[in-house]
Amino acid sequence: MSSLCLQRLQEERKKWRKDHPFGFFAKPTKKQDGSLNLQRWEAGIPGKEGTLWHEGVYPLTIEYPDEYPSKPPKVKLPAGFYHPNVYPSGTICLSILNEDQDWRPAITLKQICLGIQDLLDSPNPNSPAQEPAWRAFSKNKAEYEKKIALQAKQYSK
Amino acid sequence: MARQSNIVRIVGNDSYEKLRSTKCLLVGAGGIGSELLKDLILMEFGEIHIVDLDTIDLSNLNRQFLFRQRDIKQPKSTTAVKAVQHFNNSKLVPYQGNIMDSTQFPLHWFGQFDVIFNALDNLAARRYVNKMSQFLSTPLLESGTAGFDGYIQPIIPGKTECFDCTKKETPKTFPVCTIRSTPSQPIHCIVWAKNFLFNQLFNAETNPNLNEEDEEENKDWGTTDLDEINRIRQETNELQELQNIVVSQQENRIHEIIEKLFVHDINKLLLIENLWKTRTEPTPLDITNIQNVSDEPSKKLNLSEIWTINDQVQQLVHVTKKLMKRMPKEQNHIEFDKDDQDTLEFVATTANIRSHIFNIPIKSVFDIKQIAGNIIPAIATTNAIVAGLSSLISLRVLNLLKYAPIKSPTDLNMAFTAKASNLSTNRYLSNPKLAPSSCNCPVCSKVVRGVVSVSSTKYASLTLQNLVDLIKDKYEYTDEISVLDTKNQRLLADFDFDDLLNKTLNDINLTDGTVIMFTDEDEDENGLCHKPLELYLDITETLPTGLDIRLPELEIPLVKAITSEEATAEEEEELSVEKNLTEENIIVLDEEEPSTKKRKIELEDEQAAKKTKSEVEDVIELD
Ligand SMILES: [Zn+2]
Repeated sequence: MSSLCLQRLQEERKKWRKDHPFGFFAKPTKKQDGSLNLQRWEAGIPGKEGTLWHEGVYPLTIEYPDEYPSKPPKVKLPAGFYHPNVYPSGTICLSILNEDQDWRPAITLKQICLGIQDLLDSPNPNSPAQEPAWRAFSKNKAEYEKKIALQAKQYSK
Repeated sequence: MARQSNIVRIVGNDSYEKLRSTKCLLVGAGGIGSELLKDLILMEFGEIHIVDLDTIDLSNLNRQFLFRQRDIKQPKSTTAVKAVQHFNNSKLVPYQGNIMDSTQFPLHWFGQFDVIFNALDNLAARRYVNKMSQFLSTPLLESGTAGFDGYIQPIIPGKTECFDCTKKETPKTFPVCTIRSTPSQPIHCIVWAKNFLFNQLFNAETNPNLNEEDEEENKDWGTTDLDEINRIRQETNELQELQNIVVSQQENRIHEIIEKLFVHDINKLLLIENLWKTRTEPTPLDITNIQNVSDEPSKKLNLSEIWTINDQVQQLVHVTKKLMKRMPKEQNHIEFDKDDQDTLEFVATTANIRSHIFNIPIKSVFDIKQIAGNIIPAIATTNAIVAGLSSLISLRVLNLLKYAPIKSPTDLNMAFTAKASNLSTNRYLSNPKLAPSSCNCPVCSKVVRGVVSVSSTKYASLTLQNLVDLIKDKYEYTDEISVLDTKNQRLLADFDFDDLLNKTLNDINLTDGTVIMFTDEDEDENGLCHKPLELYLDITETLPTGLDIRLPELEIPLVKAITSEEATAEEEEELSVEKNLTEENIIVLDEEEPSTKKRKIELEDEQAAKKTKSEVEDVIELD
């Protein structure tokens, strides 16, 4: 990992400490030796109030590559997460997390977390990442909403 | 000696005497290193220490001219020293080892040298030596080549740009979506074939259920529980089934593998209509291509030509059979290797069939070998030129050329091939003056650096809290500081994490040679805090009596607490320039050491425009 990556990650932690949205959490994970791994974080994203998602807090893992902040972190929900833009493995398809699209080195952890919270309730039907949720979302809203509500319960706080 | 009189004639008697008492370190005895060693000996440096980790490989021999066939598998450093003895007039000291091993090469060992020459092939070691040179303020001559391109950069710590002042571009990676569902270039299909498919089939340790730590492409098939999504389960099982066919060597079922990958999976993708609104739909492989496969071994195919789809399928079946037969002999684990013809042809044919399906141009096996093997040929001539420049400029760095004296370090020049920088087509080398260190550099500008020396008895009982207290006291920190082990990249303590504070340094494996960074967590009312402090941990018996720990005497200035916004805004601007220039020649992928990196420099000369230039290791050879 470059010095730039390390220094920037420390700064992200500082910024998050000073200012993060209500109901969210984010912290580096522990390594086996008891120290903290700044390149791998865990976070929780609350569903937006007034949406089908609001009951849940959805767990994220955020992995920062050595080339961060030139390259974006890899952000994942749990494997099998039901959402049109989430791959079966949990990898999230979101343009700000894509080096080829809208990733910019200045994007902060807070912006990423808020971006994902937005995505939960406003899927992008044009970049499907899994078939079941995408199909239900485009063809069978009732079934889709039922599944979302169920999932929210599963991740309720 | 004729040679001696030449060097004396160039530098004069006084400088020659200085040269004879100069001690230099040469890191790397490979492509550039072999050339440099010869040059430094001809210049009659007093003492040359040579470090290289590697042993000699057959593919080195075409350009690493100090080595012969009989030297294969011998250490490069010692062999190089033996090879030059007959024309040597310097004291030569070879070491086989990793330059980043602080036990074998602690900071004070680096401290004995007047100048360091880098002739390295990877980014991590370059960064490490750069940092050591910054710790010691020892001049460093950095160099690299890639094919016909190359550069040298003298680094005068504290005065001129360091290795990390300019951004190093790393190879491009591809989003999962592109690799899995919507490839649009040959490289996407090659990544799919090499990194995903090949592993799934020929590495029985790749359990599709448990591959979280695997490469990106694999991850997307990983699923743990949540059986509500049957499709994923099914997909996972299907993959396991394909691997079973390979492991149990059911040759008669190879066609099932091909059908699954190139017909069924494509049909499934087609069901997701939205993917194809703005893209051309893929066309599943025509089943007759599979039915047409004969049992006859395929005719002799030319590796530099583009084969028909029928030939691709035929050859795929043939080579899959061969790989299946190898499985039991190789513990059901075959790795892709560009020089292993079976694995290469498997990857080439599957990538090409996938390309065909997605209306992407097909490539020859030879082309795919270059792309999949990430190869840029190493050119002996480039290495020789770069080594020559590096040794020549060292005379100016050491200020031994009386007719070209250095008044300021920024009088020195760097050099790089003009072609690599897109600077000029009619000039081979550009040699702008060195730039002063960048104020945004995380290595040379944004930290204060020093050595903390601890006696071994003190070390045995010193806790992290003790050390933190000593530092707070000495450098007048008001409140919390965070502690980071930058060598092993782990956070040891901060405002929200104090588990380790009461452990001894030894308990938490902060050993001799570790580099520890202390960061001020508090900012004053003006948004200022102490500049980060980086200390090299030196466990030593040489402290004066009565002293068991010594912190360096340093002024730690106050700086703005959060700075990344402006820095990154600037960076983005640079990035966009860079992208325009290099989009075409970026090669991928997943190798640990990127084989091509681009680095940016700012030119001070007439153009003053932002250009790129290519740096690089002296890469693996085309054999
Ligand atoms: Zn620097």
